[in-house]
This record gives sequence, structure tokens and C-alpha cells, in this order.
Amino acid sequence: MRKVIALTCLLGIGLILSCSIHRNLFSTPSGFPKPKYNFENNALTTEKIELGRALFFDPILSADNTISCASCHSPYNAFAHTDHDLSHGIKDQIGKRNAPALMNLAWHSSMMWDGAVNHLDVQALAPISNVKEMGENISSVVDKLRKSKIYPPLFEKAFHDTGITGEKVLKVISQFELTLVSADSKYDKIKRGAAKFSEQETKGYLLFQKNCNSCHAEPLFSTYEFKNNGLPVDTTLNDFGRYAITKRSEDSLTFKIPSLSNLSFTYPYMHDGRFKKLGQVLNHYASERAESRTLAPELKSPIPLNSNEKADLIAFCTL
Amino acid sequence: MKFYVSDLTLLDKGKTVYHFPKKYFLLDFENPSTLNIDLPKKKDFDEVQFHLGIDSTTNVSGALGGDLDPVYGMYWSWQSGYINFKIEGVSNVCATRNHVFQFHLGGYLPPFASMQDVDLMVNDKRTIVLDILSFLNGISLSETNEVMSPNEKAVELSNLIAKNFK
Ligand code: HEC
Ligand code: HEC
Repeated sequence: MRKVIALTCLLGIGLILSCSIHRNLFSTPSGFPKPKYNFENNALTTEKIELGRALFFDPILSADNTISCASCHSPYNAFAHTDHDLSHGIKDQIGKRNAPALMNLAWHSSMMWDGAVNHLDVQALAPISNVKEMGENISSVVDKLRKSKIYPPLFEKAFHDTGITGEKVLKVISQFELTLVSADSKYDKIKRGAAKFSEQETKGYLLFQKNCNSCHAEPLFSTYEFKNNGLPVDTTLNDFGRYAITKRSEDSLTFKIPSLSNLSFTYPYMHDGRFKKLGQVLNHYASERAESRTLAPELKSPIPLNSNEKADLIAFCTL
Repeated sequence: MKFYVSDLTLLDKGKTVYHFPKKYFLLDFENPSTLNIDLPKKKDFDEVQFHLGIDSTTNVSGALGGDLDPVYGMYWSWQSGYINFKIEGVSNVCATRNHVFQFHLGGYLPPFASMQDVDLMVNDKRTIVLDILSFLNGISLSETNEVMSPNEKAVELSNLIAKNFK
């Protein structure tokens, strides 16, 4: 019954907005750089975004119809997963990494903690096919969608032709994900002149600019480069990050720098979710970094932070 | 066995006479209709050029359709990129589970870019043969029986396959 209701709402939205298709569905927030995603090859429309949203929340994408994208990327937590350090997939299987928050994906130069995926459009193939996540494959997903009652008309409406293909499925999922733009935090309001820092937040901001901004660069709070921030290897996982993709020794233990927007919602932190609290993250930078050949130069010496400064930084980071 | 042929071009006495408008063909031996490519009418040619596999730009262009749709199982899911050539089989010399050998050859990033150029003079029957037996004889299946990601071996095998078009 819930499904039926969701569908009628969806059609309702489609109808209301169909007269304003040329409305701006994606705009670059002021102060943001130009997106990396090429919208020319996948022009956003309301129908496609809504179809992508329906698929994102539908467990039909998994082998046993139990897990949806939203199971791991929850809308209540900036599309991250907060109950688990490592992600949980079908049949209660545990993956090897923490599900990242999905946001500002149009600005990422690659996907995943190690950049294994080179384009947002093909990212969904990874969780769909991963036996520990959704355990399916795209051709059987397409078959299931073709046989379903609700999807064929939605695809037809979105694409103005019949037939469901892998390409269409992937592109509409991207469309929905591209709309997950985080640009309305207190930080963003302050930058637009619509709010002011408290005294503590100002102190935290200065500490941030001095110590963190080279990697977690404003306004996206990431350069999306790969760096080793000195986490000691978890020997139960032996995850060497980007090295697995490039096989270059200089990439060993480097991971994609995560954005710090929405930090209050995206715990646990780091690629393996090893820290539950921001205090632990700051202790790491202040005194627990592990020496290694690939440790980022700016973290070679500890970042000196006393307990007041830690509190100031946390106040800024959770704005 | 399945593989991609791209940028198919016909030449006559060294000059390009026809460039196929369809850029990518997926040839699938379980689906014999994909093995015949319609030729343009009234074109004389004595030479054929093509790439075995998919170029690097296409490999970073996101979700694509037609023969490039990931539903055909020729796209790696866990690490982006097309599989240029896929062959799976059974041989008694393979000390693997059920004596299976599997080669999923691809990779677009140097140093493991595995797309190959093929250039052939054509016969009167206008048929191209891929001599798989000669390819398999050229490798030691007891040692090399599983290549499933971009690496040195994938480049080496791709090169060997390209040499066995006749
Ligand atoms: C079982 C949990 C799980 C499911 C289900 C899941 N994901 Fe993820 N997702 C993850 C994990 C874990 C990562 C990080 C993977 C890595 O770095 O290797 C991730 C990474 C991503 C990323 C990359 C984000 C970034 O910042 O690099 C995107 C985009 C994404 N997922 C979208 C999806 C979509 C779309 C679906 C549904 C088709 C989906 N996920 C289903 C756990 C999951
Ligand atoms: C040399 C680059 C670099 C610098 C400088 C740096 N970080 Fe990081 N940060 C990273 C990388 C890389 C990761 C991901 C590491 C991993 O998971 O393996 C990360 C992860 C984090 C995370 C976890 C985010 C999440 O969603 O999982 C937080 C929080 C964080 N950093 C805060 C800070 C703060 C605060 C500072 C300044 C005191 C700082 N970082 C300085 C590179 C850096």
C-alpha cells in the first residue's frame, strides 16, 4: 500500500512541474566552482530526477529485493549511513568501507574512497553488482524493471520513447544524485552575508583555515584529491586505498579527501568509520598520526591543538 | 567469447574509402547475427583497419547506450572501464576449479592500456578470421588462466589476440 501512495505522489509532482520543465533544476551555488559533471550528456528534467529518486529508494535494485541505495545512504543523514562503521548489504553481509555521505557529486573528479569509479553515471554498477551490497547485475535489474507495472510508463514519460536500458537506469540515478547539493548550511549563509559566526566559530574558522583548508578546501571542503592523512592501517582490513587502483607505490594509503559539510550527520568518520566522534578525529590530527612514506607533507608534524582549540574547531566544523 | 571492434575503416590501395558511421560493434559468439557487419554498397576495398577494444575517452564518458550499454556484461563494475575482450572456457591443463580459464581483458590507463590496432589485407570472401586456437597455443594455459583486471598480462594477451586476426 505504501508503494501505491508513493507512486501517486510522484505522478502528482510530475504533472505540476511538467509545465515548467525549463525551470533551473540545477544551479551552481554562489562561490562554488564550475561543476565537473558534464550536464550536456545527461540534461536534467523533472521526470528523470523523480524516476531516479524512485529507483534510489527501491530495493528492486538488489538481488533479493531487500536493500535499496537509501539503505546505506540514508536521507536522514546526508545520505550517509550512521548505524554502522562498515556498510551492511543483502543477507546482513558487511562490506569493507564506510558509506560516504552523498553530496555535491557534480564536483567530484572520481567516485569512491579510492577513486575506483571514474564517472558518476557508472557508479551505481558497483553497489548493484557487489555481492556484499546488492548482489545483482544491471542486466537483471533492467529485466525486473521491464516486467514491473510501475516503471515502463515512467521511463516512457521521462525519455519519450519505449524501452528500458542500462544506460537510462544509470543516467536517471545520476540525475537524482546530482540534485543532492549541500549549500545551505550556516557556513553557506554566512558566506552569503545572511548569518554571522559566533566568537567561538570565528576562532574555529581561523584554526581551520590554517590547518585543514589545504585539503578540506572551501567552499566544498574538499579538493577531492587523494591523500594519506596518517591513519594507521587496520590490519583486519588491509585497505591501501588508491594503491589498489593505480598500483603505484606513491598512492599507497591515500584516500579521497571527504568533504566536511554536514559533519554532524555523517559519523562515523573515515573510510572505515573508525571514529565515532569529532573529538577522536582531532586527537588523531593532534597526536596520533602514523608515520609512513606517503604521509601528506603538511601532516608530517602534529597539528598542535589544545582542548579549547579543539572545541573551537568542532564548533566551526559542525556549523 | 565477446569482443569490441571500434572505428572500423575500409581502405583501397592505401587510401581510406569508407569509415563506418557506427563506431562500436560488440561481436558476441553466442549471438551469431552480431558477427556479420553489413558492408556499404559499391565500395572496392582491399584492406580493413579497426581497434580491438574501446578508446580511453569513451572509457571515461559515463553511461553509454547501444552496444556499449553495461547490460552486455562488458563493463567492470567495481573499477570503471570496458572489458575489450572476454573469453571463458575449459581446459584440462588448468588447475582451477572445474578447469576453467577466464580472460576479461581491458584497461584504458597507461601503462596498462590494452586497446589494439588491427590492420588486415582482405580476401575475396571478405571474411576476417580470428584464430583462437593459435592464440591459446601461444600462451601456457596451465600458468596463465585467469586475467580479470587491467594489468601487464592483460596488455600482453590483448596484443597476442590482435596478431591472430587473419
Ligand atoms: C551495502 C551498502 C551500500 C549500498 C546498498 C549502496 N551503497 Fe553507495 N556506497 C557504499 C559504500 C561503502 C561506498 C564507498 C565505497 C568505496 O569507497 O569503495 C559507497 C559509495 C557511493 C558513492 C560514491 C560517493 C563518493 O563520495 O565517492 C555513490 C555516488 C554511491 N555510493 C551511490 C550509491 C547508489 C546510487 C546506490 C544504489 C544503486 C548505492 N550507493 C548503494 C555503500 C552502499
Ligand atoms: C593532507 C590533507 C589533509 C589535511 C591537512 C586534513 N585532512 Fe582531514 N582528511 C584527509 C583525508 C585524506 C581524509 C580521509 C582519510 C581516510 O578515511 O582514510 C580526511 C578525513 C577527515 C575527516 C572524516 C570525514 C568523514 O566524513 O569521514 C574529518 C572530520 C577531517 N578529516 C577533519 C580534518 C580537520 C578538522 C583538519 C584540520 C585540523 C583536517 N582534517 C586536515 C586529509 C586531510
